[in-house]
Amino acid sequence: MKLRFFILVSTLICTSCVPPSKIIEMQGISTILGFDLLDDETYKGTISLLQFDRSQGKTSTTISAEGSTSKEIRQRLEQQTSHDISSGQLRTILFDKQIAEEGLFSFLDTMLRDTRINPFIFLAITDKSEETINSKEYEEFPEMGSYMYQLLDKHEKKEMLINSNLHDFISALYESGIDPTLPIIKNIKGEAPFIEGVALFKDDKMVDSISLIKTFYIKLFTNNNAFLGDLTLTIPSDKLEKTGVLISENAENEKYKITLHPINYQGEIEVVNNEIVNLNASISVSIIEIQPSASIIDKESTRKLERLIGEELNNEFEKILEELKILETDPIGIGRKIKSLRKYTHLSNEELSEKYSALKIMPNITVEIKRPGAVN
Amino acid sequence: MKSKNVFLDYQEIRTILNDSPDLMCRKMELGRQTIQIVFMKNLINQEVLNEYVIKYMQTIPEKHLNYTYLVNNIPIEEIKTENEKNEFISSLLKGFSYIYFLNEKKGFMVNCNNTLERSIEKAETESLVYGPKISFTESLSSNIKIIRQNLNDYNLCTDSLTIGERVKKEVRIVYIKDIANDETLNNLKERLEKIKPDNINDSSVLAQCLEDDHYTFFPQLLLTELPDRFIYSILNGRIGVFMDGSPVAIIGPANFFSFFESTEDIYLRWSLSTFIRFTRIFAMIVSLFLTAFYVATMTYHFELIPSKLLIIIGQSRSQVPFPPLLEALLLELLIELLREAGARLPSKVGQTMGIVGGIVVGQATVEAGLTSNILIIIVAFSALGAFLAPIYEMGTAIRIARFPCIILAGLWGLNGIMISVCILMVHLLKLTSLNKPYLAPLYPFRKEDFKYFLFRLPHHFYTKRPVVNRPKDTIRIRER
Repeated sequence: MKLRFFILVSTLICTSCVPPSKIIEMQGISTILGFDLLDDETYKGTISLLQFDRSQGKTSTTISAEGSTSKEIRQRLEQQTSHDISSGQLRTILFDKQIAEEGLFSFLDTMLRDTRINPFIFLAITDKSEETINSKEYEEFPEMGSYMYQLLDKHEKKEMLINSNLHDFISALYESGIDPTLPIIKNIKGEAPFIEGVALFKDDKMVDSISLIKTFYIKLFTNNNAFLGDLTLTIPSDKLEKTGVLISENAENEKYKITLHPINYQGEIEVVNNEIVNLNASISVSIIEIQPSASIIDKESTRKLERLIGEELNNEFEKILEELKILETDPIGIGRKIKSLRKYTHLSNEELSEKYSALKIMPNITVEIKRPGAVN
Repeated sequence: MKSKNVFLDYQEIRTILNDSPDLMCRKMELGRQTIQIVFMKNLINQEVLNEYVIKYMQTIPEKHLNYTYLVNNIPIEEIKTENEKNEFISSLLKGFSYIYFLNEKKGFMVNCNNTLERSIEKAETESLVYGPKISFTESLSSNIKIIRQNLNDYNLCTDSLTIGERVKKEVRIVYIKDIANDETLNNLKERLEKIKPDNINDSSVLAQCLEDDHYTFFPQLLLTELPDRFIYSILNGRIGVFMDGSPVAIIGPANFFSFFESTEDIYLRWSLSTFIRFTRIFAMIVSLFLTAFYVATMTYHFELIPSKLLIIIGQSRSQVPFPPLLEALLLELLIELLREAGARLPSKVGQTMGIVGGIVVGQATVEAGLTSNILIIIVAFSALGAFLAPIYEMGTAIRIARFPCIILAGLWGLNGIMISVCILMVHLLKLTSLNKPYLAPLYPFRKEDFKYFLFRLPHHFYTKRPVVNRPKDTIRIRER
């Protein structure tokens, strides 16, 4: 027994069966990585490395290199530092818009194959990633990588973002009938980078962007547990009066602004027939703010307001759907739903997208006001 | 059985004891009788000899001055005759006086010994906040007295044995007859009989001789100087062993978790004691693996460190010239040096030692850039963790077991830690204490014993004695 144990240990030690050591201070620990398109073939990669020297005031250094593949860039980056560049702490990868418009797949594929890169790494689109990474504005965080991670993580957990990590992106890409989305980071001089909107993709190519607020409608149908975020609607007062919700006391051309806080929601894509798809969703909300102040007390007018809000939402959603259809992008996953039905399983991706553009999509959002006048 | 008594006269005794200057002989001529009283000068209580032996013999009528009358009537509690020369001499050396009738060529021994002993004091190594503070002493008879006083049960047995070829020491096996498991008891007795050294210094040496596995780091028998712990264990079906001349009692069978329990756990409220017990076990795990984990993450797995912490750790490591493994071993060694120095020094110097070691050396090594301050915290934390084990022996075991873990972590990172966990678990599973599994109640799984060894519940839950000790009488509180 002891002999056997001894042999086991010595086979491990004598054959150098030891993992390569990565002593922490020898590592150039990258926290954020950005790619920019220079011209047709060359990309510029920028990387932010943690910097452990206490005598220098800063906590990170940024280096850039050019190359035609991400691995070539990495190789050239290695030439610029005495540290061993490692991606174990990499949390965010930025792409500039040109690369996104050309297609991200070739980059992401190699990332996904790299076991040292976490598949839950965040992806984002920005105007010029080098500038964003080089920006010195990162609130109280020690360096840009942590700031960007916190920014995206908070938004994903708290409000607006549809999932935007590498894993989600690739899975949406490979799945037929749904297109991925990614957040767009805006970098303005003197300000910390912020999320500007959400990029829409057709396959792996960015086609357009929508505002964060509008992702509300997408989340309704893609994610059952998302935090929807508050919704502010503008309704003219005469419309309110006409439907008899309340009687405006002030001037005629006034507009009421209502902020709703969704409590609960359920979205469902209903394929009615070959041509028509219904997007049914029911949301229960509480009204957290009305400007100017007005009180809705009786049940009757609450029901009327519910109908009114539902209409407003449907109108807006219809516009968004039209846009999406024109762009031939399907972030909601209507194609996926269609394909999941038995009679459409044979459809190829092309047929599916043809079918998508020909579809008549009917939004059907119903709202239920659970708590009129709730204060946070 | 009829055996021949040994009767030696003064000259014979003198030759056997190599003309010891301590050997005294008082010759008395009372009427026709000549009586020799032989004793060792320093070992007897002179008062007893004067008052109850010499004076008594002077006052009784001459016709009674013979062997038979005196054996029956001398006013001393313990008298005896011996069958063997060796026993005879050793009794004399224990403080018996030998009364020899020259005419009859017969004699007997009376006990008038006067042993030196410490008064009963507060426990030193196991100190308590609540509960009785009394501790055992070096005297076997006072230890038995303490136990008898506190455990008034006629079933309390104190079987006597003598151990040691040259220096004979009395050993007492203490148990409660209708609770203690016979198999364990016989096992213990067998082992005790097998031990044949010429001398056993202390009961801790005896415990080492009694252990199942002599090579392991881990103690398999509890050593305690607290009577209340002893009594508590015995009432739960364990068996205790006392040795003359040692203030430490041995308790067995013990399991791994019993080294983390203190009698204070019973005295405190259940919520606090449960919390403290978990803390101790947590501290043990921390003490074993925290430094190893540091070494592993610093050398191989920086990915695991949260990014905010990473910068702090990276900054503190950036000036250190050694690889993490060497750094950790150096610092652990430093702590061990300090600890050992502190333990052997008088308490006043020991304090200064602690300050010099802890603050000055610690601070200086960090400022010189020899170690990172994060590691100082970690090493201090794990050193502290080892002290949390209420039984000192377990603390030392953890101290030593830490080093293989650190080295394995340095070789193979987290895999190394995993390997050391596996080896440790297999080892603990294989260990036994008096043939009872060491890792009980985890393995074999005894759910009902968890309340004894892992946590604590309010006292009315303790209706049954722990199963792992296999008591004969399992019920503690009989329901009416």
